[in-house]
Amino acid sequence: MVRMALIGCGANAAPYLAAAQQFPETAITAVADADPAQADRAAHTADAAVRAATLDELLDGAAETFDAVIVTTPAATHAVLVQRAAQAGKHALVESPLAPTAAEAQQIAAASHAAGVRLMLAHPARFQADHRAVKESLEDGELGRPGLLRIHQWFAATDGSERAAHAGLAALDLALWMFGGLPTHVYAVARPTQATGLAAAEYAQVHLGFAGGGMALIDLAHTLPTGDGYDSLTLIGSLGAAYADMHHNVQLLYGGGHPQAVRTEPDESVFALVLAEFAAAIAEQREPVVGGADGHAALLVAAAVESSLAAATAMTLTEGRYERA
Amino acid sequence: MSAPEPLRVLVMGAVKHDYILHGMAAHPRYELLAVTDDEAAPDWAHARNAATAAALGLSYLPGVSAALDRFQPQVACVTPEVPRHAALTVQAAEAGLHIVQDKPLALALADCDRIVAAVERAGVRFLMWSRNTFPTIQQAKAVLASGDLGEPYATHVDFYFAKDAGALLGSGEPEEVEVSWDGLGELTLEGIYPLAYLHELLGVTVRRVFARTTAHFFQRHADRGVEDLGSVTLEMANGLVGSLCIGRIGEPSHPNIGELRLHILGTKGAFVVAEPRPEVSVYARGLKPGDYRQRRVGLDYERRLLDNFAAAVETGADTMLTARDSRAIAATVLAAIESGQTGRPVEVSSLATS
Repeated sequence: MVRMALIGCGANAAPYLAAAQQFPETAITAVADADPAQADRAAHTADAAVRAATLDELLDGAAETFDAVIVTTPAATHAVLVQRAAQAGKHALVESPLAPTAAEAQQIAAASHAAGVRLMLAHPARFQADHRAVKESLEDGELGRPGLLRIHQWFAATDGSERAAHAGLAALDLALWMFGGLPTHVYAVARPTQATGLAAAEYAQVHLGFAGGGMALIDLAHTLPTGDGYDSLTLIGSLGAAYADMHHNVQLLYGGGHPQAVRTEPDESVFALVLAEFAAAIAEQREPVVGGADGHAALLVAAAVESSLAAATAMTLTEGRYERA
Repeated sequence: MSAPEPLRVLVMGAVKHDYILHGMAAHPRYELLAVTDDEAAPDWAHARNAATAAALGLSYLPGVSAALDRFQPQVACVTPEVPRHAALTVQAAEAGLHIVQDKPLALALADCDRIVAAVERAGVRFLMWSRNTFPTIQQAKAVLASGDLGEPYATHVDFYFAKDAGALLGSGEPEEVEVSWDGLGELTLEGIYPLAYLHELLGVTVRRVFARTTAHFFQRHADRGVEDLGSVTLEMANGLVGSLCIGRIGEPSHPNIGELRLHILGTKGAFVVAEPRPEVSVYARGLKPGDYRQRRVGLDYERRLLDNFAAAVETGADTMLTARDSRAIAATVLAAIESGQTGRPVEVSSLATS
């Protein structure tokens, strides 16, 4: 049993509260939030005995009640929180993005490594059943060498740019995961054209090139009508291809007028799988499947995307840094 | 009112694809007269021309000028191997023939420009063969026209065709290259189809591209230094953006002809289209690898293309894909290949024409 303190009890915490109840190997035993009402609600949901306003309060007064923290606060707070937790010997599961910048992400990863604790980045996209199936097919050798990854992720306009930006970082992480390293080339276009990053764009398209000729094209939109969404991931390999496309997984609902396309969702909770992996990494004393280095890498590429948008040109990887092509 | 007289068609080179010829043979508005070709064409091309002519019940007459004199055609159907497209099409235009040509327009922009100049100087109609009359493409066009999507702002085309091309890369297997293979990459050979979709749907030209290209699947592409897999970011007029992913991904990679998809994003909605529909799935004992399990049905795209050409000849209107349109697509393809080689975005208009 891994006992966890939930740091931040706002909207981002909800999936972890639900997942912890589904996964018996973890329990949320403490919560912290500056808003007492939010902390109370979370504590009630999780049946957590300990509540506080801050992580420091928890560490000062109830450190023995938890082994790890789940950090769901804004990215700008992650460095202080994770480093504080690491110093206290607490493992950390951190919401994406790991930090506002790649440099800070690197510092967080280094601090956790130095303290000998596990740092896991919460990228539920890696745990989606369809994405896992594609990755397993790749790792089993069925697909051969990865050649082309194509990702479409579209959201409703009302979902807001933050969700699209979050999804963008997750999509970059998926690309790096599938190809096993940083892209050598990054090129991006966006709408509006003056948008300088994934969060500012209502539409962004990211084109990545990898060593050995691999390539990825990712497009992110949040312009669909309210309630709509679409996602698709295709991986073309030298020996086969895998198609994880929502278009393949919808049913037709006839209720008058045009038939509706209704998605059939998998049973499993990706957040429960995230918690399970975090708990397993702690128990087995190994790195989790998505760690600090992954969070740093995705942010490094996201920064290259921003540079590409600003300069309207491609960026190339040179000695670990992205420069104008 | 009597039916119009069939258009009299001389086939100029019949060595590559026979879809245009079969479409014309089945269409009541066309009368195939004979097959001809340049006398200097390679021996294998003469042999293939003769075989194709025989299969269609036509005669084969080497020597284009002699065939023009003898048959007095109105239309040239130009389907030789790609490097000879320009020579035969220019010759046909200068003879005053309307032209239906196989894709792509030509290999070099200078040749594309020669074709455009010859066609426009002669005032003849030119149709580049395309898949633009497929039901799904016309359905997408109708959806766009309905306004349901609002203003389109992004389009993506996936064009993965599940065909093999000899030995797999690095397999060491013996390579038997078909004599008519031009040694060209898949962007050059097939890129015109998805790019023609965008022309049909949006009517805009591509301004700038960024591409990644590689020989990922087959030894012959690697040996020739040409791509069998590519991805292209497209920046178009009016602020439209888009992308094209294209590849000859191999037979095992799809149960059908390939994954052919079109995605259109608009300010009010989006449309996701699987191009090979309507289709029927057939699974049966005895089907071999390479036999399609999912089969298009109700397909009449060839007739519709040829209807468009015949109407253009009669009315003097442009066809749905003119020589000038095809030149713009060829320039986009060449820019993408250059971008793939340099790792930099390329302005399509910056390409030299020689």
